[in-house]
Amino acid sequence: MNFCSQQYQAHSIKAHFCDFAFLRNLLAFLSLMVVVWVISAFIFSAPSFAGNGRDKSIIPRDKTNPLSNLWSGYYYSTKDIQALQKNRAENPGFKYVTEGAQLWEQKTGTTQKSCAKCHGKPSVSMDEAGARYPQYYAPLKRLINLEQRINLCRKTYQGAKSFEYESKELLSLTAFVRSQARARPVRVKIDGFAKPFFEKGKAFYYQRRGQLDMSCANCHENNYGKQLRSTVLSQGQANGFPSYRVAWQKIGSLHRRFQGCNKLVRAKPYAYGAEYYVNLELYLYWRGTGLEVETPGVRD
Amino acid sequence: MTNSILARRGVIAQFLKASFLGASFFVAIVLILSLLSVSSVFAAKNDEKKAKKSEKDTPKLVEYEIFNLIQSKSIPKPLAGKKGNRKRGEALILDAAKGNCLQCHVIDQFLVKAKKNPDVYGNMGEIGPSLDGVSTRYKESQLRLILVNAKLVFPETIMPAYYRIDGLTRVDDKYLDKPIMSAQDIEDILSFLMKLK
Repeated sequence: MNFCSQQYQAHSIKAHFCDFAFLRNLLAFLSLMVVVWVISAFIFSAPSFAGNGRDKSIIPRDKTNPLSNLWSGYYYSTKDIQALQKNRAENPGFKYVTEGAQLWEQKTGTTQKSCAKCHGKPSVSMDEAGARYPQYYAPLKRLINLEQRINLCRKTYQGAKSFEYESKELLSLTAFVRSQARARPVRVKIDGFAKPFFEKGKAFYYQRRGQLDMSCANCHENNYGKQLRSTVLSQGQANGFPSYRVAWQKIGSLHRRFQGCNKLVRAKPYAYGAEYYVNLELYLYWRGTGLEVETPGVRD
Repeated sequence: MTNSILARRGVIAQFLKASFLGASFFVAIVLILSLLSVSSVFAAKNDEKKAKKSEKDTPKLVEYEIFNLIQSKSIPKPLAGKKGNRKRGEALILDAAKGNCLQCHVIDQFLVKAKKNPDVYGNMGEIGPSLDGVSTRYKESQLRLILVNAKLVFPETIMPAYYRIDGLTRVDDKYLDKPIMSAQDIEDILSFLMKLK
């Protein structure tokens, strides 16, 4: 059907629409509007990508994720604590990040190298690490987390003593490195060599333990969002760690939080950096795939 | 007319030509989407009509509640033949190291006290069911079993077994081979619960 083949009066609107050039310009204008719209959408939504915490949940892409909606621990915190995390100047975790930045530049060990000497600008070299660890480390044939990666670097490349787990130095440096990935979505690798460790982490998650005989899933999968006396159960997401906890009055690692949970169900906790905990760490980060890294988070 | 303008601004003309394909694609998608939404609105309206019709056709039933009685499993006799003390039972329910029931359950009679003493009675948990009227839902023998080991009745429950030492994983040395509560404690709490009507 070609209605443009008919003859129309010179100034009629129909004739105008049959002009190919006019149509082309109209469409080009529309496409320009779309481009402007997309660019402005990115510009205006930029503040929400800052990793300060979000009030909205995300839907996991992986259909095997047992959670239908993912909520950061930020969501379950009280208003005061949320405000504390959002405000960079007041967030007590950033004090440690600043100290970590100094450690990054500090020359140390027998080689007198700083982290910056090999890695350069942290915002470039460490932009993804915080969202990707724990990872499989081939020389040790096991999974390592960010803390252990930092200590490996110290040992092998700096010739320095490794920091003690949960020491102020290691927490600061870990928080600093992880905060470089702030606002990046968590994305850990669970296939290939990492798969058996992932499966072990999963088994640990669903294993009931302690005198109270509870698994992680009992609280954080089946009952999140519900009141447990004065606190609200979270989904147990790891994206804010190392986090400043008001209960600790300082920053602490995810493994310290694991130990706390184990003690609450009256189970014997594992040591910091234990393989069980690193496996669990991988499994937890996978459960939060897509959530923004919020390090340093603030939690109650 | 417009062509001549485009010819003069060669770069813009090239950009416009290049974006022509993309733009037409976009317009096509918008058109398809709008058609789809229009058709779905019509479909929804049709569904509403159908639903209204079926409402008229089916007769209304009286509402009823299903009671899920677990009669097969229970512990009929008091543990070690002990007799429960109701007052002690109330203290154990509030004790964070013993019963700690309010961690997960609500008991309405404490709501008044919660206003005066929120540390002990306030913020009752919402993980388990309310304990009000628990004695009307279960027999004493059934409740005894639920306190002793709730997993024998509800295998997936979060509720700890209060009188059990075997089949547990990695119990802290401090609590190893000890039940959370003694036989006497269980009977005390039970006597309190049986008064909750």
